[in-house]
Amino acid sequence: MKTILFKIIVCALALYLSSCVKRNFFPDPDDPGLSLLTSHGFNIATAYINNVPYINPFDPGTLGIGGANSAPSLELIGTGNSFDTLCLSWQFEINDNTSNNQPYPTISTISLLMPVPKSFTKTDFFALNGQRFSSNTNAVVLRSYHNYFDTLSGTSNIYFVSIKYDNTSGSITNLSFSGLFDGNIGDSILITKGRFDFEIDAATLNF
Amino acid sequence: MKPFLLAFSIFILFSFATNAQSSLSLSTGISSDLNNAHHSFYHIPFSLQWKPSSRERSAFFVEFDYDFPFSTKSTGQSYTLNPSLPKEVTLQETIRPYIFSVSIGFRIHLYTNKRNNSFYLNLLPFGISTQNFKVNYKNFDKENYEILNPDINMNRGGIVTSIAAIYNFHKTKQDMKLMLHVQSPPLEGTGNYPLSFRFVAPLQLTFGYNFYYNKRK
Repeated sequence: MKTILFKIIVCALALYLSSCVKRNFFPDPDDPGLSLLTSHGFNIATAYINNVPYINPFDPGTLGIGGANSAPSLELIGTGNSFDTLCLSWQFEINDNTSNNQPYPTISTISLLMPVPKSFTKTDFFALNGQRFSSNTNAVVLRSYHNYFDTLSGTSNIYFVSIKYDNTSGSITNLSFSGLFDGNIGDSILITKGRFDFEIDAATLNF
Repeated sequence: MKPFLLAFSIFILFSFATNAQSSLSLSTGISSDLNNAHHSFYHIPFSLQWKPSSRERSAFFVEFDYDFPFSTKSTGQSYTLNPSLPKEVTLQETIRPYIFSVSIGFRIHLYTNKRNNSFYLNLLPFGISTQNFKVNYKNFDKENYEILNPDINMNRGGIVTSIAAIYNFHKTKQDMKLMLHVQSPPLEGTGNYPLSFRFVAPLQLTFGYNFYYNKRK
């Protein structure tokens, strides 16, 4: 009897803890399925792909503890050309459940690619604040895995609306950046109303 | 400190309303906000107090307050990817917080002068208040632009507490009143989304009329 009671208590506690987890997703009433454009480091990114809302996934954590939106990666990719490529990538899935607790889907990523000088530094990245870049220079790449990897690439507009960093300790630690993006992949895939709000540890950057 | 608290407790215990009549009071005036530093919310308050009992020692009453808001102006920044449009546009934002409160409390008689005008202290330890914030961005082109960190509509409520100083006057009937009333913001949080405003804590200055009925002989 005690064992059954113990199991019930553990299950109830687990359910309670998991129900407490809320992701940072604040829906835009004008654009169903998309988040508001924010600059609070919520690690949220949404966009319509052919009018279907997509979002970066949420990891509910263990027993509801440590849940978080999946983080992006921001890296400098060396090329053999005169320019390197700044690559901002994150995972994405269809936003068919806007509440919370979605498991990771099959692997899919979206990447925004920008040509930058080979001498590109963090200071150069901060200088992107408030700059809008047109699609004749930038690319968007969609990668998905359903039994095999599929990669599609096209052109993209990117606008870094806000770039902020924490410099209180004398060195740059948290870097938060938010903005807008859209893109075309051929005539078949149209990415619209894209917006992101990310925060990453500046120590993880390779530039 | 202890003698003061003891004296104050005795004062409250043995104080009572001197008007041995049931009453309805209506008042209106102007209200400002004590809880927002960045926005100044002003309202026209309408206050209805009902003292149901005509017993001399009963000071219990119910108060209904509705605060009709003036629009408060602010600004928001919007951005677009469309290269044929300005990349950043400043929008005018208006915020209108509608407030409704129901409170219960009791009144403490403080003083009556030679003209029979009287001062009361109303204590309302428990009330429920809803605050409905309506946010609008003027001329917002939602097809092409996105607002950064926009304020959004919010309708929430919670428990409040309030206190008021009352001055009843006008010849011997004391049928007019002047009231200074301050109410706490609701205990409920405004949610996880960061807004540019907080709950309103209204400070009301109102003038009104007391309707006495069911006079006890």
